[in-house]
Amino acid sequence: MKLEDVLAAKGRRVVTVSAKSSIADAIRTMHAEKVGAVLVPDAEGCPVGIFTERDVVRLYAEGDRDFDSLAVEARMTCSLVVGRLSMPLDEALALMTERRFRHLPVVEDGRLLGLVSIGDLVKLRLEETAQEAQALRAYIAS
Amino acid sequence: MPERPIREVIGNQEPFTASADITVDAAARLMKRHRIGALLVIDGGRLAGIFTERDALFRVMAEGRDPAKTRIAEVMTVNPRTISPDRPFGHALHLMYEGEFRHVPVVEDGRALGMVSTRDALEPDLRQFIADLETRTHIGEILG
Repeated sequence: MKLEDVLAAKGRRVVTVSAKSSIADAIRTMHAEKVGAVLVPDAEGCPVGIFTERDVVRLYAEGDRDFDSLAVEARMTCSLVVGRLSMPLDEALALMTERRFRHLPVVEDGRLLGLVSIGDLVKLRLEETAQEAQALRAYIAS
Repeated sequence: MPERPIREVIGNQEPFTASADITVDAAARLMKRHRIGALLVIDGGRLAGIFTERDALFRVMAEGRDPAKTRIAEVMTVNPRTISPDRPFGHALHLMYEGEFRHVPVVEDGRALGMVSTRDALEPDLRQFIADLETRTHIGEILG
């Protein structure tokens, strides 16, 4: 299974905010869209940053709390690790494990095509395993 | 399916707990210090709820509540789904998958022992998933 299949299963919707948005706006967007991360695209639509709920909790705990005037671009993570459509699921999982992140933007030719999360990958892995088991049971019974 | 019992997954993990009357402010600092995304909320020695970074975001900050004046008891998820340490880890994964949440408190005789999360699935259980799949392919080949 590849990231292309993951996106086919979960959809290609990505929630984005502009770099100049305030962190308060990003929080409202995450809440309205029920997501744990927003991507920040450049003018061409390629992601340049990611901002997650963990960032919010960390900033708040550090006392960095002026969320209404602080721009997302000032606090987002810029060193983005991205995946391609052809990346195998296991490779994406291994990346998340090694680098300790939970969201992987899928980019092809400088275009943002989707965002996969640790939850999406674990969910698909569970479905895949269940299907394999069923197929094997059916095979043995036949 | 990972058959490893949850007791083994959590090992000797000291459960990250918080008293129900601490503020969201204090909870955020606790989560940051321990680099975790959820706290078990204890009231009168028993598990009363779970408080996650998502609760901090959606139920406090997005709602315009003051984290310094909001107690976690007001915004936590009460009566979360829990699991016994004797169940296989695969059961916890299914609970998370069906309920669309990421943390399951592990409870025995009313006492919170720890917590499992989707993150735990990545290492080493996910590798076991992969190994299982390969084994099945091999069995298929042998049977075929």
